[in-house]
Amino acid sequence: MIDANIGSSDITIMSDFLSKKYFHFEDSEEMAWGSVVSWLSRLRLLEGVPFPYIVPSEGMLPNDSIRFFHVDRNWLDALVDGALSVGIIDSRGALAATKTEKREELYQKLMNELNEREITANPYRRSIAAYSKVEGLHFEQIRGLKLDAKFTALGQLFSGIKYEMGGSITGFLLRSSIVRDYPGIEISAYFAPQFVKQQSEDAYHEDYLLDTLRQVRLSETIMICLFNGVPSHLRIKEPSEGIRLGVDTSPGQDIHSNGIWKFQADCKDIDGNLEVINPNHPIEYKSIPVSIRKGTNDTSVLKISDLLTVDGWSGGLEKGGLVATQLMQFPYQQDFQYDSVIQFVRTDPESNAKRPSRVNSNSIVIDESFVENVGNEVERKNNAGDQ
Amino acid sequence: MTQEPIPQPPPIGEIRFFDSIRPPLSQGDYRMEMKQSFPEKVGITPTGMNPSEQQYKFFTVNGSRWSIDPLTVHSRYPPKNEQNVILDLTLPKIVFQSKTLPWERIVNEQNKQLPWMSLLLLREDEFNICDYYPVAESTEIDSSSNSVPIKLLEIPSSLLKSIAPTSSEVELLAHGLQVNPRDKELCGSDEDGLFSVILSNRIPSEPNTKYHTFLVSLEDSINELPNENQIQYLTSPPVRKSTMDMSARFAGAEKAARKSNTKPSYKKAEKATRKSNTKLSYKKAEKNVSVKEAGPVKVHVGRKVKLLVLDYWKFKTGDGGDFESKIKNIRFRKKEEDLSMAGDLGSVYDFAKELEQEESYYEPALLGNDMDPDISANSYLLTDIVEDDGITRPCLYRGPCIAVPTTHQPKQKPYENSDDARGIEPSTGFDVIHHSAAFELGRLLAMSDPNFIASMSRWRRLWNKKEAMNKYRDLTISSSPILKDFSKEHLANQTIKTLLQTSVVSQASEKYKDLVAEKVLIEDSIQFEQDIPMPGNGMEFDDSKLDNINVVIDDNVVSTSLLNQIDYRGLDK
Repeated sequence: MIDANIGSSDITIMSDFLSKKYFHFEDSEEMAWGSVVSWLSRLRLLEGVPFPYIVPSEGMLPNDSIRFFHVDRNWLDALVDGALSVGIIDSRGALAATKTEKREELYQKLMNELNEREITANPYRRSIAAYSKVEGLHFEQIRGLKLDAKFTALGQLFSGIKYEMGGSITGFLLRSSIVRDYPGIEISAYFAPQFVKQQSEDAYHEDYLLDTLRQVRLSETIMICLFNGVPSHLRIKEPSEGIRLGVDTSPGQDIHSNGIWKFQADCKDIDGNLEVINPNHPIEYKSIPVSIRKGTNDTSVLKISDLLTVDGWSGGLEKGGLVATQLMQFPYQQDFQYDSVIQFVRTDPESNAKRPSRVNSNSIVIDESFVENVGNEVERKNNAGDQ
Repeated sequence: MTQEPIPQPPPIGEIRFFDSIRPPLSQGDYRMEMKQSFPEKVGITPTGMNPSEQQYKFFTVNGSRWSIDPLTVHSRYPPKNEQNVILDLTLPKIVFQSKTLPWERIVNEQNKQLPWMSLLLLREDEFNICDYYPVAESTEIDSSSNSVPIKLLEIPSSLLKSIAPTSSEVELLAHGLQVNPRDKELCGSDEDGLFSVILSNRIPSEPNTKYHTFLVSLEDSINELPNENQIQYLTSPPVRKSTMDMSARFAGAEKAARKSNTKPSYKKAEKATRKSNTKLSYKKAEKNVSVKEAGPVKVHVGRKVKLLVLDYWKFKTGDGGDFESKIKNIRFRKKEEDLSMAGDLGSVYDFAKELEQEESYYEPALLGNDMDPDISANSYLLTDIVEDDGITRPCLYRGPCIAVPTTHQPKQKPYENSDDARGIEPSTGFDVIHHSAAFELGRLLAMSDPNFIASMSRWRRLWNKKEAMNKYRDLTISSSPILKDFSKEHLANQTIKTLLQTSVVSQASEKYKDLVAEKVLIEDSIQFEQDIPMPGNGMEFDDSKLDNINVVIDDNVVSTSLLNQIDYRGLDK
């Protein structure tokens, strides 16, 4: 029988290391700086940003919808600047330095630190991602070390793992009752442009996996997810812990057919694979008959112990775990693929700003008729009274 | 049976099952023994202490008996209050974030693996002959305990025997599982990817029927479960309800109604009313009676069993509402040629059903592009701003999440106020306010968090202080003669105190160089070559003979001059 005991895992040690890395200070100035940076890094992942700032118009995210987006880093910078501005108490500005060069240097240092911190904002998630990149053998050695040596070794380990910093952040908003009813929904994003427009399973491979920076419920039915990079493929999966466990009817029957007096479950081997009786077409799978209790006025109460009658499980699960494996149904997954990975920004090199502007004018629509249309649209909306 | 440590999370997409995940300490009373030994003597002095001290402490490890923390419930299947549960032969289940919860209490000393809870599924007609008290007290179940509010289910013993798992099946209906939490939403603080699950042994099988799911405690009720030898299984297609004799069923219903009107049951209802002191409870009792009089229910006569309810939810069967149909229902907006029109919303599956007409374009479904009404192709929203002169003018705003990628243009220095962050759209002259809005928002969020303001001002203060210190240090180094002896790189790691001391010593040695030289001259004339130790000849160095030289650099002189040299003004900046 496989029972588990509770102990700290390698991941926990790694995650401890990561969190301590940012809470190890030379002096009190660094400590205060660390706490400022950690607050700002959470802000940069849009924590605490009110929903109407993210989705300013209701039509952008109707019920039962998923909407993908790019994150505008210039916007995030402005957000950080605003938070820094609470430190302005004299002509030295938000960052205390007297000299302009020093101030700019500090600002750059802050921005660079924020770029790193947004990746490691969640040490546990980061550690799992890193763990999959570390060879098992390597970790065997680290495990044997004493605490201090372990931390040094882990520091080297992490510095050896490269990740993209300060690049594109993308994500999506999902508004559906799924978010409420299926907590723990599993979302993975992949960057594998070579497989776009192919129905290929290859794209959904660990090698192409992008880091998830934040995945959180904003309200009961709205979820936001941020990725480090621009994914070409996205997979949304039923939560594994909520995987459907159930039985099937005999071939040719369904739950509504009369005369059901037995169910069956697909027989799985010790690795959870379906057991095949006949590998030739049509493939026949082994199944376990499951009896139904009399006296309930329907066909509903299963004889659970029937599921224990399988071979080849010695040394593996014996009880609840075995039953769950035999009842396991395939989870549903929904894949999304980008039509085109690269999207072109409309630009007009001819235009000149009328006054000095820090806004990225490249990304502002130049087409005048568009603005007219938008204006008309707004008016129309007000007259009609609804959207 | 072996207890193994919890392994690393499995790769993404894999699930690892466990028969059970038991807590490190199982339920029970424990004695902690503490021992300390003391030496009888230290040196030759006896300590007078007892050579070994021993103490005992007692403690009890106990799971929560009467209720479970609602926050530990991770999910329920079918979802709570779902109106349209598809009949797909799936067993209802409840998933806990606490990985050890089902094994935290021991219901049977012989089998400690046995979970202490079980999930019962009742059809609406069966539920009507049970009594559910959402507000009751624990003395109803265990008269010896203190009164604790609980939820209580009174279920006819015969009904329980026909639907509940056997005592040997209870163990099979609980399991632990581990998944990789990397691609999961963060659910509370529990992010290790370990869960525990309790399954029901019954599937919802009737269409368009309400079902009630009860998570009940088996503690003291384990004997009420059916035995394997009391159960019969179908060996041929069952006789469906429609062919049953209606009059027989009616007779049964009447009997049930009579039964439910007997005194103990009625008293119970009264009692519940009194305790909860709400109308709801009383109404419920009434409703139960009336339903029983009219409803065609199967007869379950006899003793009623009281079960402690840990969780309760209901759902209704239908023909959809599972994960698959919900996610297939996710809608996209179709692109219209005319920008002022909003495209239709529909799921990919709806669009696919339509004729393969001219290329309908609905992907990628971007947040806020021109497929949405009011929004421009690059996510701008035309809105109004009231300026400082009180006049309302149109302006453009967009959020941080936009439909098009933008070039990140890092600034050299931060915006200093929100007007600094305003931009203009060149072709229309409209103000672009999204950076100012972001700036103001960041400022407001920062202001609303006193901790952030505190760390920010603390950092400013400390940073200024540190800068002043560094400045002073540089001054000290540059103005002192120690640069002759040490390189700047070498000095970089020294504390300012060491620097000061070294510098003073060097300065002092400069100052007294002549004196020292004079002294040396005098002492050179003294013959003491034979006293100077030669390496290897074994002679000891005699301090007293050199005292005269050391006196020259007097401690007092040094410290006074040290005080005079330090420029404290620099530290106050």
